Amino acid sequence: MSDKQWVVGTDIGGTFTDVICINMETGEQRLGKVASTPPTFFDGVINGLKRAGISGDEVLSFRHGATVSTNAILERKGVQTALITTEGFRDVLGGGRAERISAFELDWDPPELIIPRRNVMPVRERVGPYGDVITEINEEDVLTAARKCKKRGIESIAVVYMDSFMNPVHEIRTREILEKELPDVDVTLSHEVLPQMLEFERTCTTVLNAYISPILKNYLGGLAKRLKEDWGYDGPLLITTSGGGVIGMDEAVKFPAKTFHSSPVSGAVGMAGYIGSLADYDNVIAFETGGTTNNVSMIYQGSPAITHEWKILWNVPCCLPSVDTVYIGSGGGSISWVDNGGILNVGPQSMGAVPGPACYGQGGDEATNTDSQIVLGRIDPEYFLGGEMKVDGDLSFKAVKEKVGDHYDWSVQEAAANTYMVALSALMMAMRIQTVSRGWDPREFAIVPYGGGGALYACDLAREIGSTTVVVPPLPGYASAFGAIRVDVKHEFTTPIHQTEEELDFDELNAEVQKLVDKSHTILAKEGIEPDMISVERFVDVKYFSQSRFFTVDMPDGELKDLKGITKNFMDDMEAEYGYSLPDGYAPVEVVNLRVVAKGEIIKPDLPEIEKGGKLATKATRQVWFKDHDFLEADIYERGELPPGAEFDGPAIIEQPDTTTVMPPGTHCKVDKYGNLVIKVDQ
Amino acid sequence: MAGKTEVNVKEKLSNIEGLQMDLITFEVLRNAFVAACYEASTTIERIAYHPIIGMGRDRSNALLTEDARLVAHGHTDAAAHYASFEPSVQELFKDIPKDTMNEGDTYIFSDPYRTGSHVNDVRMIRPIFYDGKIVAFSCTVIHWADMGGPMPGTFNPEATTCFAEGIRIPPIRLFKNNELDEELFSMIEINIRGAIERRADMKAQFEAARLIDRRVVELCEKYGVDTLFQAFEEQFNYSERMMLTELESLPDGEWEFEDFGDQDVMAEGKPPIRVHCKLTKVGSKLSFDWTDSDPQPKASWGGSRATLIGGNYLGFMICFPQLFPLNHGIIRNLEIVSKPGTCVDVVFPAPTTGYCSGAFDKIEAVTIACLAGVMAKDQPWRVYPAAVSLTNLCMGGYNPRTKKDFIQYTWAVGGENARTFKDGKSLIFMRFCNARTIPQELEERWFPVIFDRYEARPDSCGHGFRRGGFGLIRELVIQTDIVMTIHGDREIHTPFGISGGLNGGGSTLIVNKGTDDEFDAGMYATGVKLKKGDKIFYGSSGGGGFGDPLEREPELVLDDVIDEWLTIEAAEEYYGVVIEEIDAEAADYRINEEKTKVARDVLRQKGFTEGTGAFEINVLGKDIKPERIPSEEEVRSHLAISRPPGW
Repeated sequence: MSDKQWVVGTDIGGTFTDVICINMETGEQRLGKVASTPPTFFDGVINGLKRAGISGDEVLSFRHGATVSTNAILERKGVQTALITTEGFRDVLGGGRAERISAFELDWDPPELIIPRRNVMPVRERVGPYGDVITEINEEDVLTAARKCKKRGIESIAVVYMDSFMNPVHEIRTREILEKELPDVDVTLSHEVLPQMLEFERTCTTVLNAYISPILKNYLGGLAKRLKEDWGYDGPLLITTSGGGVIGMDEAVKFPAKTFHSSPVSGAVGMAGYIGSLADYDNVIAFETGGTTNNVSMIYQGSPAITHEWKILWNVPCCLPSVDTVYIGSGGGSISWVDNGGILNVGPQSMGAVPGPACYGQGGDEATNTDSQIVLGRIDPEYFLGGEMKVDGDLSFKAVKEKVGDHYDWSVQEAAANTYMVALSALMMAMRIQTVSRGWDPREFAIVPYGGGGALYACDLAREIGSTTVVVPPLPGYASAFGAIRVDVKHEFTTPIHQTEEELDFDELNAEVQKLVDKSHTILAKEGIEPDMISVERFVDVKYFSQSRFFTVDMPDGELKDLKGITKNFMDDMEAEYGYSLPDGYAPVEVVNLRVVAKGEIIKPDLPEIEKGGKLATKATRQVWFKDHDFLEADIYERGELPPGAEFDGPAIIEQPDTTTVMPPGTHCKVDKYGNLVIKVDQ
Repeated sequence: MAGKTEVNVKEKLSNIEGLQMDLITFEVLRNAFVAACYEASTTIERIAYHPIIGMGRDRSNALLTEDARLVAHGHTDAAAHYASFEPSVQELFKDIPKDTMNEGDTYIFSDPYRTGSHVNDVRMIRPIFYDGKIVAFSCTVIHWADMGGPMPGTFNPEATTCFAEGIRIPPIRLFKNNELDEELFSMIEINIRGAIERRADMKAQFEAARLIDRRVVELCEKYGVDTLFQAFEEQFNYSERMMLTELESLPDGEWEFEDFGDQDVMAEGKPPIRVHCKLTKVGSKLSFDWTDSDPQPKASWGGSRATLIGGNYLGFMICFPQLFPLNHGIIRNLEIVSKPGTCVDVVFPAPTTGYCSGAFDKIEAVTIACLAGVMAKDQPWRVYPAAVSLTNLCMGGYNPRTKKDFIQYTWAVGGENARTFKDGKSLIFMRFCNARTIPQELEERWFPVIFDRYEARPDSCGHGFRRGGFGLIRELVIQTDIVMTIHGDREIHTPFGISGGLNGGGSTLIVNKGTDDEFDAGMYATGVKLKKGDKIFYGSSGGGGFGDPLEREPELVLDDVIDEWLTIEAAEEYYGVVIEEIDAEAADYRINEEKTKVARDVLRQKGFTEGTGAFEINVLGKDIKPERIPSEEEVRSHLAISRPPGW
């Protein structure tokens, strides 16, 4: 028996740092939830690990998720960054795609630019759309830019030239010069971050990468050092990504833009996807409710729905692969308010954690979702965070009555119930958009709620969208940390092609595919993955020539000799998604990019089976409001006391320190052997 | 990720006494109507062929009641399109009685005198059946890149009748039982360029129409037809209540304003074209009277009445963005008076393709300028100068890459108007839609052009206490012989400033600038033959300024100089701020306070030239004044953002 038995997942949030450790030999599980310790966060991680009672030399594998990169963007705490770009194109970043967030509203302004115009530095050079050099690079311009950077205290530089993905020679030359002139400054090249067409999207992604590159490097370097010095761990760190996997530290430091919003993503893929599979669902709606937002992500046939157009902020796209998560601004702290036409709205403005919902008694007097849940008897104010946090339910009644009830002449309960219904309707729309608009039938999906509040809504949502199953994981409050230890190493690499069938040389095309496959193997090997644990899926981005958007479709097996198989997949996908396709031979088909997704399978602990026996018992009953029913007497259960195999019906409430599950009438719960609540919802 | 949220808690509460249905069902349906239209728009975006649709978003989708009242449109649609939804469907009824429509029928219709805008905006109208009865209509619009006629792209500034533009299409049952009538379509196909691509666009449009159909049927199944109908009415009543409550509280009065198109290029002496409006407000009633506008021009500049009401609605919605989406509840409360045969109400056979660079944005800007009188006291932030106007650049020729003829239709974004509390946004789309730019890297692959420049035009803003946004320069080198048409405006009479702010810089198009072959094409050059290697310099207008530039904080002028938006020369010429370069590489520039004081005194004495040209003071605009200047925080609390879920 090895002395290294533990797999550790850690996740840093704005408020809490979560640690989960699972012993691969015994299945034992240990937890640590401690306060986060900004700005470095290292102490929080060490505290959490110590709380869990594991030491570094017992650890087999360490997985880590950090909001450091996301927060650096949202709070504008990246480093002084410059952009070097083709002369004549310095407003590609600032101009974006010229859109507005909203029709009619002229008083809105887009988020402030990460790089002010003065620090966008032009270089005379030009590569054409087919990779030909139109204008040789003017190295004097690069030297001028280097001098400017030095004088202006620039710490990181993004280099983005037009069409560089077709021929990166000028970007590479620029880095050589900059490395010589400015040895201490980080340089990010666009063709390495995102070798794809669309200058604004590539520029923005590259700039995001450059802006946080020194920060993530320092953070991960610092963390590794602390883990070694204070905790005795000197093995590799695997970092969670936006794409629903983990990558090695080298890749994460080089491409920090791959780590944005990795916490909710890990929860969706590693936790919700896995929990769904335990209940025999490979189609899952991962549904997280936090303090300010709800997040909805989809797992379809075992894989997360991925987008390459994810935006960290309005018009700030990061086009690396990302789990397609819809954020809805109605979390626990979101406010109920009445608009000018007399309509009740919930969110997106939120009271956050401070001052928080009215019941916190910290001076927040707005009626929030949490306050409505208290009024409705769904959350027990005496049992907030398992009783660890004192909240005042009377303040909830007061806020809901004054802010909503009095306006409509509703009782406080009516006001809370209507607030709940408005919030529910927004969530329903989001789930609908995520399923139906993709051509997926929501009835084939199980909802897996997590985060503090997901299970308050999940059963009603299931009924609204026609889903029959809700699975509440044992530790919804540890979703991201748990998710981090349930995902594989995952990379995605692309090569731009931009040729129609007539223009393609298939020998060259096959060679390019092979290069991508080889690259995947090289990087995964460096990350310690054995060859037989590596799998590479091949895709191709394809469209009709001069169609705007491409479809990513499976590449047929073996060497490519023509586009017949690819065209068929293209037609089939279009048919599936939009219900129509165009006849074969209608217009030239263009191969836009080659794409591979490379996975390295790593050890993933399973949820331990619960051995506890005992009888099912309620701890209390109380009056709880249910949709379509008004107030009913509901059984209250303590989650920790539920024995595996136990079955019971709604109306019921299951309480645990990190969440509350609401089971309306017409639902039936069975506790599975892992402690999941598998709730069947009658339609 | 949601990031920072921008919507405020509204303090002003009214009531919902009027609401005759369950609040929650109402809310769900209200969102569902917009969502269906938005979903249809994204479907088109994804599968349509021409970049102007897929990348540029020149398309719109709407849901209407069975008697052609507008219920909702998508979040990212074009105002010129959605205002004409009602007239389009009403006109359809005249030719094709409702009782002759069958399930699975879909009609194509593009006749600017009846549907508004121009022939390129092809409408597809579909009756939505439930239980054998028509319960609603969907109407989808796409800008077809070519509709035939003498000029590639159909824009023809020198046309004097519609017959020199493209083909008009009367209401035709193009799909029967969801099957395309190939015979009818072939009649259209042989008359337009790039017919294969248009077929793909048309199919995308048809799928969008069907999608709205499916969504409405689902709603009928879930909620019942009666509830659906009631939700339509309540939606109108709701918007109406919001609108009338707000209007009631604002001051009454009469205001008028006028703006100019550069020239009627086909009339003798090429006179400017005047758009005039008088607004009367009494209580909650608004009446816009356009009868005093100039007569219908000879050239393609004006628009039909359906276009006028579109521009008028847009101007209104910009002042009342919280009313999103435009629907019949708002429409029925706006009185719009016009005289057939004027430039804002042209009649057959006047040309109309040019409406979008011509009449439309003047109508919108004049509407907003009139409404300034209503807003100035209580909502001073909703007082706006004019913004960049559309310039349509069409190029056609033979593409050596595809070995086929191509049609490139593109546009330039530019400077938005200044706001009272903040400078205008630069390089942003015209106010009339939420379209997007087409990336240069994409255009270069589709069309035989290479871009040399996509960058802001320094000094092009309307200077002011708060300045307008900056225009754009695009420079492109033609890689094959082409025929080019530019159909724009705002070269001579530029986007006006208000309250003493200067007018924005004008649009321009120059071929082979700075060479012996230089040719100033202006904004109305038609069918110009260009050779491989020729270079087009294409600049858009800047947004109008707000307030006296001499009152602008010198530090802000300095910032603009450091960011190279403004040259040092312009800083002195328009702001009287004298800036010295210490070390450009270190971004070290400084204000010379003494010289600034002197320069400002001199400028104050001299004053700015009055007029409607670039960097002049618009005489009428000068008198538009908000009662006070709101703070940015105050304005932020009034933002009305309507965006699709997940944006």
